[in-house]
Amino acid sequence: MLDTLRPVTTPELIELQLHPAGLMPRSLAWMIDMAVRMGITMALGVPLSALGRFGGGLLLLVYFLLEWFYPVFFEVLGDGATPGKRSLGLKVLNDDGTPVGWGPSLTRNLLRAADFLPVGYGLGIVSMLLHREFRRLGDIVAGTVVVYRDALGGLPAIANAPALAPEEPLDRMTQRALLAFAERANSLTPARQEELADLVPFLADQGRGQHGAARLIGLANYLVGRRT
Amino acid sequence: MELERLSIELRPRNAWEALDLGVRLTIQHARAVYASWLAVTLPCALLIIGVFGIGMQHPGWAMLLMWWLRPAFDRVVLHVVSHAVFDEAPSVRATLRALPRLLSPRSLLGALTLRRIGTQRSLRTPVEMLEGLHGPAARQRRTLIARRVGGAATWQCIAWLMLEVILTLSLFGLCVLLVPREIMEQVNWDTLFRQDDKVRFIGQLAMVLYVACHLALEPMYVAGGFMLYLKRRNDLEAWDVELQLRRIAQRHAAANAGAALFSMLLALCIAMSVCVPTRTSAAEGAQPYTEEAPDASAPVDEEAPRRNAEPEDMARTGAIDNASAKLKQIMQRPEFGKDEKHSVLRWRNTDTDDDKPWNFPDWLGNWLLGLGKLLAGLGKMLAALGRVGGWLLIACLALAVLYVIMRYARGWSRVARRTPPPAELAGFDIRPQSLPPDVPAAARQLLREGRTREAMSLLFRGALSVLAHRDHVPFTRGDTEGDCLDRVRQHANARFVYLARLLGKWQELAYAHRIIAASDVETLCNEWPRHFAAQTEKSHG
Repeated sequence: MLDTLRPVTTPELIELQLHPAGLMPRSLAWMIDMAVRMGITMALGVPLSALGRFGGGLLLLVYFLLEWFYPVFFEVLGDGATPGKRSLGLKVLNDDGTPVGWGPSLTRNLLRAADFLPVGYGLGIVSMLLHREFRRLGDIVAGTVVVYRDALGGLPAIANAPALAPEEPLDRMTQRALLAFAERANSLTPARQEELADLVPFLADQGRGQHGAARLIGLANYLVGRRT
Repeated sequence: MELERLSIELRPRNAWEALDLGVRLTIQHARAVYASWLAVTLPCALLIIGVFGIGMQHPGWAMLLMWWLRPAFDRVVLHVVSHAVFDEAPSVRATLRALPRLLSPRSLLGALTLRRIGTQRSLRTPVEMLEGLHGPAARQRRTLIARRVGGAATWQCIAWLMLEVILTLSLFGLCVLLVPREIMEQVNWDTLFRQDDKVRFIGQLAMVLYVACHLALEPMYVAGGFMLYLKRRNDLEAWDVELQLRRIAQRHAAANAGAALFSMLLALCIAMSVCVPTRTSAAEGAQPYTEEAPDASAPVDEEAPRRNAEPEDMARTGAIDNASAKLKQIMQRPEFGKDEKHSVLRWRNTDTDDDKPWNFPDWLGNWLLGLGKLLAGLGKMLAALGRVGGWLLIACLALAVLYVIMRYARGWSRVARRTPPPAELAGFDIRPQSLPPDVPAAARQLLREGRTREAMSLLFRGALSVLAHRDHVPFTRGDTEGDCLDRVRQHANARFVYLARLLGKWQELAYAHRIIAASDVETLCNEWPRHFAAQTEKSHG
């Protein structure tokens, strides 16, 4: 099955799914960061230009630091995200899912020089398009991956309904399906809800149509522990 | 639509992830997608470039025309991709055969005129092409599909447009990098853009590069739009939930069938077990009659089991003989290991290489010299950077040394290091105000009431409190009882022996649940003031 996830197994043998982010949001995030950097340079340029050549030198230093260490600074101290990444909901992680540190962050950002080749991040773009986890060269070398901070947009909410106890214990697959149904029910039309509930009449207590859907949601409410 | 046959994972995903999946899908089925795509577009592109760009000398028109015709070409990609999600990517031949249907004038007319300008085209094309609606129904459907994900479609349109331009520039930069330095030095940049023939050449080069980038990137853009469409449909119709429910239903049906089979078997067994006794009773009933010829029946009965056993034994020995062959057969299955091919780059031994001596062409030599010069320049730049880095490194080292010195300096002056003792130590509250004024007396009182445990704990707690507050033994918050004892040995050795005894008794009582003799506690109470008393009074007075 084709998907964009990266599974990571913790030492406790728990499998986590990272959601690597592709070229599109990352290039938009880069543009925001670019605008921020240019804004800072220009804002400093006005007072510094009053200092003559010394000011010009200082401005070059500022430019140098912003160009190379702006991403590092934010990635290590700002929870893995520069302002641009934050606004697009992205963050940088090590490829084992741990927060990125100074070493990997420096590596991936210094290698921007390689990704930039020949002009305008040509190699980086090609690498991100071809890599299965959308990594650019710097990411590959540093062992980092850019992921979606919150891939599903918040916690799932289950429609509130009186809980119904199942007649027999449900196995894990059934529980999962019931929860998925209840989480999605709010965004489905009633007709579609009934159609789905009709697939499993044995769970819905032979209840057809609307009654069946309501029963499934009641079971899900029982499963998440709203049993009072 | 058969959801079970989809080759992409259905799950709730955000719009960006859907676009990313489009890229992955294109790469996964790159051969099929690009073969069909190029088979249709490459001839068209060459024709347009030839006629407009080179023949009529208007590269801009050629690029505009290529851009304008996108909706037509996109349908080819969409056709391939929409089959590829079912793992049935069509061959070039099949795509070409489907072409008249894909590019029917009726459907293209709107797409190339009224609806050409619009940033959500990648999302709307699948609705038009795959759902086959017309008129107001189609409009309504397009609005519904675009409602939540339209923004992402717009962004992807803008972003891919920019990526095409950036990649074109990048390729252009690559071309400039590859031009030998000697030629670059001869270029007069001031007059370059006033010479018509050179401007034209640059324009035509840009056109070719742009079209190449377009041909490379467009399938991913179309696939992204298609994935966005699938994501929206999945959000609206919960296909993933449907799949899960279907799987449960299937399993339920299978389990039911199994249960039915099981109950049938059970019924059969019961029937047999009912039958068997009746047969034996019949045999018993028949016994008197067969007794007349016992000799004849006996050997038959003896031989019968042996005859039954023989084929069984033979089968078993046969199975054992065949076991090794069968094991080998099993071990050759893919799950028990497979052949892996590693390719490694190695220097060839040049001695054994009897190729003809190869002349070094001049142009390549010059080019390499230019490259060498470029690298030398790069080296100088890196050296300058390195110098700066070196100074930075020295500064960092100096800072680090300073830090280490500061840290040890603080360690040398004991006074600076003294921090107030913690309020709680090894689970005991050791603040002086929490203790009774006369600890041994209070302990004796507790002992008299039969609360040995409380008495011991009070003694130990009081001792720790005095050690922490009066003798300034540097306890830290996480210290265990053993740690406390260690610190006392280091910092207040005179109290160590008593404290060790006290702690030993306390541990015996508290952890080993042994009974401590009252006389022992009494002794400890009596000795307590010698070590801790005077100063407790001082700290309280």
